Amino acid sequence: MLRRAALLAGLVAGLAAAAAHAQTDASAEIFATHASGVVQVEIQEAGSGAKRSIGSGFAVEPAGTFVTNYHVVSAALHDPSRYVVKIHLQDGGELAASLVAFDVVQDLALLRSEGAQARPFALHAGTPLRKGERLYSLGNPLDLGMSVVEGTYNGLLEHSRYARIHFSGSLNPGMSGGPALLASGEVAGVNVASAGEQVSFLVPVREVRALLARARKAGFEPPADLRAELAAQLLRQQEGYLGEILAKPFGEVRMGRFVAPTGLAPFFNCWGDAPEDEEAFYQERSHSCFTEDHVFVSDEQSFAIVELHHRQVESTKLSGRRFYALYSWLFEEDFSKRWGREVDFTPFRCQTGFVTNTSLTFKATFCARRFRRLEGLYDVVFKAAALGQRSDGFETALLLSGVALEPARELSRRVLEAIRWAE
Amino acid sequence: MGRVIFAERLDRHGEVTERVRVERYPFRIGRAYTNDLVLDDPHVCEEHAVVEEAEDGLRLRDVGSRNDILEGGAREVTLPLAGQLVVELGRTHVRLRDRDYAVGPAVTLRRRQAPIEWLLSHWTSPVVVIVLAAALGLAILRQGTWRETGWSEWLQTPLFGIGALALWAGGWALATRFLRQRSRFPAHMAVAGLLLIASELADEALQFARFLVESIAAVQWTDIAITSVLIGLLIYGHLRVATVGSARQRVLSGIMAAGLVFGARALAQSESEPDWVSTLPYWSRLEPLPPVTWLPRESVESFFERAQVIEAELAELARKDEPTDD
Repeated sequence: MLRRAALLAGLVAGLAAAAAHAQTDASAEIFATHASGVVQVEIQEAGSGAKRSIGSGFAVEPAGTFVTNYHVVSAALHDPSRYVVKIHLQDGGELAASLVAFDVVQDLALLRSEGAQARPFALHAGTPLRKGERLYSLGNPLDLGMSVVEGTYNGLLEHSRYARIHFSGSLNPGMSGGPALLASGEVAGVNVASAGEQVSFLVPVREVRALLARARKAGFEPPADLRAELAAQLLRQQEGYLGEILAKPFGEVRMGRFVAPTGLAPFFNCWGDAPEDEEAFYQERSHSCFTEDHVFVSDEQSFAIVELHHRQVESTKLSGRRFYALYSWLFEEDFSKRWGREVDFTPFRCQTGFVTNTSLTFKATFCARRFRRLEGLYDVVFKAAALGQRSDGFETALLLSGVALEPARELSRRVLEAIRWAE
Repeated sequence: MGRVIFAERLDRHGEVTERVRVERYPFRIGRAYTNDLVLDDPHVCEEHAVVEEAEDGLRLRDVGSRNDILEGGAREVTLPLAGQLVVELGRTHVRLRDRDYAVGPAVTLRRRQAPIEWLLSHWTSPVVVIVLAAALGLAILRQGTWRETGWSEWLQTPLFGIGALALWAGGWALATRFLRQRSRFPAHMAVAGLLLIASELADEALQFARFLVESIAAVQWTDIAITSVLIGLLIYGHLRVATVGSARQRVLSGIMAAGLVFGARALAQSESEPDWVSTLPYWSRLEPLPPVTWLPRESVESFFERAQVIEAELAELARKDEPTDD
C-alpha cells in the first residue's frame, strides 16, 4: 500500500515536473519565436530626445504598422510640439513613428513607421478562449529588457461596460501595449492594466481588429485633427453610457425618511454607510454609486466618471438654525477639485434655485465647466439639498466628467425627480 | 460809560475759551498780570496791545510787542474796531466784538435727536450698547454653530469684543483729549458699540442673502457696500462725539472714509478674483426659514430649462480665453 502510494506520488511529481518543464519550454519557445515582433514605444521630449515615458507595442500587417495602448502615446497626441513617438526594434534600431488611429475607450493606438522591419503577429480569430488557457504576455517591464510573462486567461470582466480580459499574470509598467499570445503564437489580447498581485487586464484582440479595419478604410492616414477625433470618440462614448443610464428606471434606496435613486445602471457599484459623529450631535447615512470603467484621456484626466453621492442627516439635539448651520457646512462640499488640470477648463458656471418636485423643495445648483480643447465636452456637478424640515436633511451630488450638457441635464433632472419622502 | 465790547480768547478751532466784557479804556492785553486780559502764551509780550478810544472810535494798537499783531496773516500796528475783529497775538487768537454784534436766531431743539443725545452724553449709553452687542454676539455664536460651544469660547467672544471696542474707543478718546481737552471715552464706546451691533446684524442679513440670492457678485458687492457705509457712519459718529469740524465736514469725512474702504475692498475683490475652475460659484448656505412655500420656487422643468444659459456662458468664456500653446 505504502509502496503504491509512493509510486503514485512519484508519478504525480514526475508529471508536474514534466509539465513545468513543458511550460518553461513553451515560454522559451514563444519568446524565441515572437520577441522580435515586439517593440519598445518611447515618448521623447522633442527638444532633447530624452525619454519621458515608455511602453510596448507589436507589429501587425501591413508592414510598418504597430499596435500599442492609447495611454502609452497620449502625451504626443495632446502636445505634439513637445513630445514625439519613437519605436525601438529588437535589433537596436530607433525609428520615428506617427499616430494614425486610436480608440480612446478601448485604450488602443496604431502607429506607423515606414520601413520598420519586424515580424508581424497573427491575430486570433478562431474559437473563443476557455478559462484557464495559458497566455504569454510580452513586453518591456520597467525598461529592464524584453520579457515574457506567463499567465492564464480568466474570462471577461463581468461588471464592466467595456470588454476586458482578466489575465492572471503579473503585468508591470512598460509592458502596456505588448501582446498577450496563445501557445499558438496568435495574439489574444493587448496588455493594458494591472490591479496588483497577479491580477491584470488585457484588451481583447477583436478590438484590435476593429481598429485596424477602421485604419485600413482610411488608408492608414491619420485623422486631420487628432484632438477633434478624440473629442468625437469621447462624445460617442458618453452618449452610449448616459443613454444606457437614462433608458431604464433607477433603483431606489431608503435613507431615513427619504427615498433616493440608486444603481443607475448595471455598471454602477454602490456602497452605503452610517458613520457616527464623535459627539453624536447628528446621525448621518451616506450612499454612493460609482462607475468603475474610467476612460484614460491624459495623465491628468480620466473620463466616463459618474458618481452619485447621497447624504441623509438628522439630529435629535439640534434644530432650526443650529441644525441648518450643520446642514450648510455639509452642503458646502463642492466636489470640484477632483479631476484634471485647471488650464484645461473654463471656470465653472452655476445655475442655482429653489426647485420643487412632486414631493419636496430643494436648493439646487447645476454647475458645469467646459473643456477648452475638447469641443462639446463638460464636467458637471449637480447638487441639491432638501429644505423645510427643522432637523432632518437630505442632500445629493451628481458628478460627471467629460459629458455633453444635454444628457447631463437630463440625468440631473431624473435624479432630482426621484428623491421623495418615504410613504 | 463808553462803548461796550467783548474781548474773547479763541481756541484753534475758533471756539471761545474766555470772554471779558470791556467797558473802560484803555483795555490792556498781554502776558503780565497788570493787564486786563492776561494771555498765557510765551509768544505774547508782557504788554502786547491795548484797546483805546481814538477820535474816530475804538482801535486796537500794538504797544511795542516783539511778535506784532497779525490780522489775516498781515502785521498791523493799529486796527480800527468795527463790529468784529479777530487778531493773532503770539499764537493766541483774540476776537473783539461789539455789544451790538448780531447773532443768528436760535436753532430749534429737535426732540427726535434725544436718543442720539442720550447716546452721546449719558453715562448709561455705553453700558446698554455693550450689553446689547455682547448679547447679540453670543446669540449669533450659539445659533451659528452646531458644535457645543465651550465655556472659554462663551467668555472669549464678549471679552475679546469689549476689549477691542475699549481699545478703539480709547484711541478716539485720546485724540479727542488732545484736540478738545476732554476725552469723552464713554460716548466713543457707545458709538463703536452701536456700529458693532449694526455690523453683527448686517452679517446675519448677508448670511440670509447667501441662502436666498443666487448671484455671487450681488451678495459680495452688497457686503462691500454695507461695510463701507458702516465705516463711514463710525467715523462720522466719532467725529461728532469729538465735536471736530462742522456738521458738513463731519459728513464729508464719513463719506470719504466710506469711499476709501469701498475702493480698497473693491480693489482687493477684483485682485483676488476667485478661482471658479476649482470652486463652484454657488452659495451653499441653507436656512430653516422662511417656510418653503414662501420661497421663490420653480418646477424641475423650469430650473433645467433655465440651466441651458450655462452653455452659452461657457462658450463665451472658452472663446474669450483661448489657450495659447501649440
